Amino acid sequence: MASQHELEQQMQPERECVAAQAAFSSYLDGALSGVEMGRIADHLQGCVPCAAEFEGWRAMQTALADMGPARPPQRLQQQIKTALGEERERGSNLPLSGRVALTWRSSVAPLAVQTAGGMAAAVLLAAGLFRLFGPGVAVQANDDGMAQVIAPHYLYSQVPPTAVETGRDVPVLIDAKVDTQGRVYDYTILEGPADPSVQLQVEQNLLSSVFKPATVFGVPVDGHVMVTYTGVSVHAYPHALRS
Amino acid sequence: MSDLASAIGMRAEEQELVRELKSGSEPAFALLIAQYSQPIYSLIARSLRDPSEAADVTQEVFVKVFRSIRGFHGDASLRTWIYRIALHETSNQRRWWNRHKRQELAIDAPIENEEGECTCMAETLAACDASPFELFLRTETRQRVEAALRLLPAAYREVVVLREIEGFGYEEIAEILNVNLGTVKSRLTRGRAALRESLKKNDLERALHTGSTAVADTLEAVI
Repeated sequence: MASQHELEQQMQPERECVAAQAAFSSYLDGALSGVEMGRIADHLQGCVPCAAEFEGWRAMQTALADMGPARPPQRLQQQIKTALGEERERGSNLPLSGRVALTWRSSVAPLAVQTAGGMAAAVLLAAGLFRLFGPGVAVQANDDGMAQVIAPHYLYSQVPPTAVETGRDVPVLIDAKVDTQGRVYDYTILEGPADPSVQLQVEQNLLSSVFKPATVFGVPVDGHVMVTYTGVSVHAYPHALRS
Repeated sequence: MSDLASAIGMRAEEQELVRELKSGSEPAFALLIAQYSQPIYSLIARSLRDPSEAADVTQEVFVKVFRSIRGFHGDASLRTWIYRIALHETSNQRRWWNRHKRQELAIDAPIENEEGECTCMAETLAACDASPFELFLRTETRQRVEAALRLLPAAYREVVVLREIEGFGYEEIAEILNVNLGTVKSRLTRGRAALRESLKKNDLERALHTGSTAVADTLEAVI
């Protein structure tokens, strides 16, 4: 039976091989300390299996390096440039505000101009068609600001008009109705005294007055006219003067 | 010029390029494409199980760069940032591939015949100037390494490709993958060991198929 010491001596090289092989990767890259590099180099010099294994690692590294870069397809760069051109048109490298502005400029704005133009053309066309085929404009009395409707106005009096004697000095405002002959056929006292003596004086004045009758488009019609008479109060005279 | 001055000069140059890229300058993006499309394609082609997807994924990487360059604040170098996007896209593509295309056969994907030989369907379809034997000698090693590389778990494959083929340092790999330095070293050790085991197993199988220990010994010496 082997003693503990003999067993340890047998396992020692094996442990060294395991440790050396575990460090092959770093050893290939020179990523070990100087002491560790020296220890592995010493081990490889004295251990044929590990030296052969390390040669295999080194050959593998050489084979990987010899593979060189993979050759891209001939048109790869052009393919990428085309793709980036499409991205640029979409503005995918811009912030949200920039993308919205780009979208507006490239699609909505031209569409808006077209829409506005279309709408304007449609309105013009509709207006033209309406003018051509729509109903005629109805004649209205106020088309020319009532220019063709003329109220009656005073011409003259067949007898000299007289002042209307009233109890006090106030004017008498009358709404007189004038017929197509220019004569008053009715009246209403709107303001001022309306006692019978005043009415009599007013009637005498109105009956002798001649008016130009009201006209509509030159055709005489009945109309209204406002007439004002100056009211004169009656003064008391001395008896001697009255006789 | 000292290394420091050179580094400062490069940094200023990169900042100028980034400023131009952020403004959407077409010449700046043309420069970026000229500078990075090839290495990014290579990284992606080596990281994917189906390299025929590499061109489309590369295009997608540059589209992502274009869309998100405004968010680049210079915490890492521009190169590190682009490679990070590339590996992210590669990872997405791998997940998609695993879900949808695993069962499909790509014309350039390596296939294994009954004798265990690994060839591409494209090579069997296209005529080649070299004789079959010459073609075999020229491409045999590369194909075996590439095939073995594709069998590695993605986490190991990324580190091995970045270190052994793209030549990145440990620190930059850590930045690209957003992991710590110890993780990079650990993944690299495990990835290399797994790749080595895969190649050894492949050699052994080939030797058993041919029944020739001499061939096995020869290949063992090469790998």
